[in-house]
Amino acid sequence: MTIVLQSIINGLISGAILMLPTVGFTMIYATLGFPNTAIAGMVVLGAYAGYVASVHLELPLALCVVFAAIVLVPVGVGMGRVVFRQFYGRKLLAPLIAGVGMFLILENVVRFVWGNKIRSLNIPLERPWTFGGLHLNPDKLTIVVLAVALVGGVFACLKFTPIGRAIRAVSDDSVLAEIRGINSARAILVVWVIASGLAGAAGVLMAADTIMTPLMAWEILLPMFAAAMLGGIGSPLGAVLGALVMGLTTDLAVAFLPPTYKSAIAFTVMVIILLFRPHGIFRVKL
Amino acid sequence: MISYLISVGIFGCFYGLLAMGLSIQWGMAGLVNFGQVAFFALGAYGSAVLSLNGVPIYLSIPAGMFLAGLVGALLATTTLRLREDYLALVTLGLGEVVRLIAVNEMWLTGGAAGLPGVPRIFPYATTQFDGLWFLLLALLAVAVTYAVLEVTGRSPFGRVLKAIREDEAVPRSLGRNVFSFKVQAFATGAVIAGLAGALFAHHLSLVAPDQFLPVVTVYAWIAVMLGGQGNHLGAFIGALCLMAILELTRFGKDLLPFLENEQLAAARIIIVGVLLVSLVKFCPDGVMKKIRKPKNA
Repeated sequence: MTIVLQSIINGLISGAILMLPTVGFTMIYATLGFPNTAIAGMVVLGAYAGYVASVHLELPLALCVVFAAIVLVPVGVGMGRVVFRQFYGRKLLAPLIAGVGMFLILENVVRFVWGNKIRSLNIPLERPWTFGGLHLNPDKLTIVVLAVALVGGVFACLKFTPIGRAIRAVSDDSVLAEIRGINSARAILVVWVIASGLAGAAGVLMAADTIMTPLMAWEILLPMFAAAMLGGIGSPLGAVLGALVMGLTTDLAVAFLPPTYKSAIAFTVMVIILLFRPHGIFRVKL
Repeated sequence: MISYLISVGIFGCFYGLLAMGLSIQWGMAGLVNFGQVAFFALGAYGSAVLSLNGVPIYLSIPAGMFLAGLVGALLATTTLRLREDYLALVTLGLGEVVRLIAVNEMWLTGGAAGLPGVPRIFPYATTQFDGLWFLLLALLAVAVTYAVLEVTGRSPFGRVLKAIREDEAVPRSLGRNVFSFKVQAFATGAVIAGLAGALFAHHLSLVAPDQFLPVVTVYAWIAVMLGGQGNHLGAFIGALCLMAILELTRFGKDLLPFLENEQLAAARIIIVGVLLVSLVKFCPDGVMKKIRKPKNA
């Protein structure tokens, strides 16, 4: 029983972290119509940007997250400009392949600069809180609070600001949005800013939760796909729910399976969704 | 020098076969497979495990191909039924899952160290001639595959596939079972990748998980993109060009001696990634098509 409860706690933490890249991934899918695998590469780059901030600049975790998000925004926006812009509105294949190429490039830039060695952020050790055999580190709570705050901020922006309304309109129907005088180029630019900032922040939070290696790119890739598919690809609220479900499923399954099979669980979830509910299990709209 | 060229040629054939597998899936049927390495690995491990347990090579290679084809057919049946735009994501996942199984199931695959001592195809040939014989065999495999693909392409089956690629509503309205055609095309491509894997296992006489990294799929895609959609011979020539590019990057060590091996490996993959992105960006219809008719592109 304790194992199950502890897995639920761990699952909620990893699910909260998974929300960030999945929301970005699904927003890019909604506005531009292709699955952007490069997001996973940006997550790794974000983690190592956080490493610079944490170890070399000795910033606290919250500021490391902000630092990584700020570093990643020009990377994502530049990538959208240089690599992806000409594919907007084209068939799925070309941007998809370009995304896989960018994923490889980003992952290996990290390997080139920092090597394959396992590293961790410079976070002071604290005694974990224990209640009846359950453990929770105070810094894990910080991770969850930061993740929820960032996603909450994005949702507030989508819901209440003019640019958020423009993004939602472009996601619904970009032609109609253009006709109504919405500047879709600007909306897409903001989507890239949000997606890359969230990816950078997610990398730091992942590294703070466990450790970092360039392989993180693969650890996030399949759960991110699975979470987006669970929530119905293209729906930000669905992405949040999907990420939490994926986090819980993975950590509960890992309590009984060898932990090296984490990616395999995400893959199984993907196949099951495709078989039974290809449009996702949550029909939510935002 | 000669044996070096032979070995490069043999690897060119392996990547050529992988690319030809993609050529039927994407080139003819428009299906996007980002997990070609999974079928390559299945063919390799399938044939290696069987032949290490005493099954003769002429049976283990077809068995490896069958295994790859079977998994391909199952995957296609489950994912293509409802949403085929997810195929790329699911196949990308399959590649990772197959590699995870290879790393973790020690009893079957030997774990991270892999399976050494896979029987060679020409056990009596001296090492000098082994490569040459093997190159001839690999070229034969490429030629047979090419012939099969060309014949298929002209057959009614191939014509339906091309029709599906262009607009699947048309063959469907003519009463064709589009889904079944796609599954067959996908499985055929997987079988070809399985052949490449089986030959690979018996050539190196070692299979290990780190030979089946996702970048292998990217190599196959680059080869296909160099050749152009639906150009099977182009895919093979593309694979040879890719090998030339990859081998040239080996000289990086001489040019930049201050880099660590780890950094050189990363730099090579960065170059491969840049190559892939530039191919998609600048000539999405294939380099060879662009050279042949520059105005129509």
